[in-house]
Amino acid sequence: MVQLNGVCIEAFFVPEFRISLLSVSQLDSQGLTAIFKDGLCTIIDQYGNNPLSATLDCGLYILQRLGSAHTSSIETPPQLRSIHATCKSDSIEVWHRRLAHLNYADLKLIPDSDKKTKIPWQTPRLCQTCVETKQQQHVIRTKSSRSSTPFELIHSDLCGPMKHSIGGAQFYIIYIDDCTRYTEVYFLITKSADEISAKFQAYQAWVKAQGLQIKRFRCDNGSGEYNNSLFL
Amino acid sequence: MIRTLNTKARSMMQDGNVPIRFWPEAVRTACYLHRRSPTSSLSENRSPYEALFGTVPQIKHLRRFGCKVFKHIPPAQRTERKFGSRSNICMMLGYVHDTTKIWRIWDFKSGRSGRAVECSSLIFQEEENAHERSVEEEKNIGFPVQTERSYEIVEDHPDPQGK
Repeated sequence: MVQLNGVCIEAFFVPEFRISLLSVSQLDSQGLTAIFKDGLCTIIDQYGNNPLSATLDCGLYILQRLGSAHTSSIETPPQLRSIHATCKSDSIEVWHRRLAHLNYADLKLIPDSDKKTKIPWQTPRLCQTCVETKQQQHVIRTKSSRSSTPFELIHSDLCGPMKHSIGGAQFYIIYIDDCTRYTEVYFLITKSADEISAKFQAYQAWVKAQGLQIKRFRCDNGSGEYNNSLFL
Repeated sequence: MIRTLNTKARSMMQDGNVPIRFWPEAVRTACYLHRRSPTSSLSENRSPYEALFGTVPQIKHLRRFGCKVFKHIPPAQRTERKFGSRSNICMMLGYVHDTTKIWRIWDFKSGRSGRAVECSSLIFQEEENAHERSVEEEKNIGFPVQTERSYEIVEDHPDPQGK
């Protein structure tokens, strides 16, 4: 609330704003009447007194301060100042907790449409509540470095069953060289161990023909694919 | 990698109007093309082929999957001696490792219901799909023909022997 020549108006305190704007709807809600006529705005209260008036200047009605001598600025009550102060100094941790422990990455993305409530960015401290309530099992997935030599590590995967092909195949198996991403495909009619090991041997022979050797082999241990003596 | 190959294969079959039964050919060709395409997991936009063999792969022989190919019939195989057709219409399927002069094609006339053959002396008509053919030929090669479409075409060209 701001007191202005005996009129109480609800106000926002915006320190960055150089001009104080007065809302006509606020005046109306306070039981005041504003009359705009001949470049002059006269504000009359319910008793017919005229506490405020404004003159038109460059499209704006400039309020004329009547009465008291020290009307150089609209005075801010102390409680408003304190609200402003809390807004400014609230740390990222406080905002984090206010927004139901919102993760910090998203917190950073909250737009500061309102200049008052700018969320300051600083490296957050570890929030104990978050750890207690949100901790997850770590997925052990180290970013595997690429092998340096071809056919040092081979990945394999099986795909299927598909519709029977012209040749009767229903599955295919791929062998990917980790170093070069060079891929070979082999087609299978069934995913029996015999067939798969035969294809693997064919691939092994192909690699040998390139003058290289498979050192390690990695697959997803699909059921039925590698349950055979060759891979044990 | 399975997804990469399947996506490539699916696109090729869709584009070339190739029946699903040819999926291994599409996957094989997808794999062939993947080896010759730059991969983000390799540095400097290299292809797996380049990473393994050290040379930039040739791409001048690449043709659209499923397109129409005319396969030259050698004189010894011609049934009508002088005035018979000199070529068979085939479907482009893929490539043969280590060569840019031989392609893998589907010969509709070979065998009982067509056969995949690897041969050279081909003329490609890449803007046309081999599979967009008459119903009669589609029946011969055992392609699944959409009933709706075959009905329309039968209406357009009534069977002369039926009447």
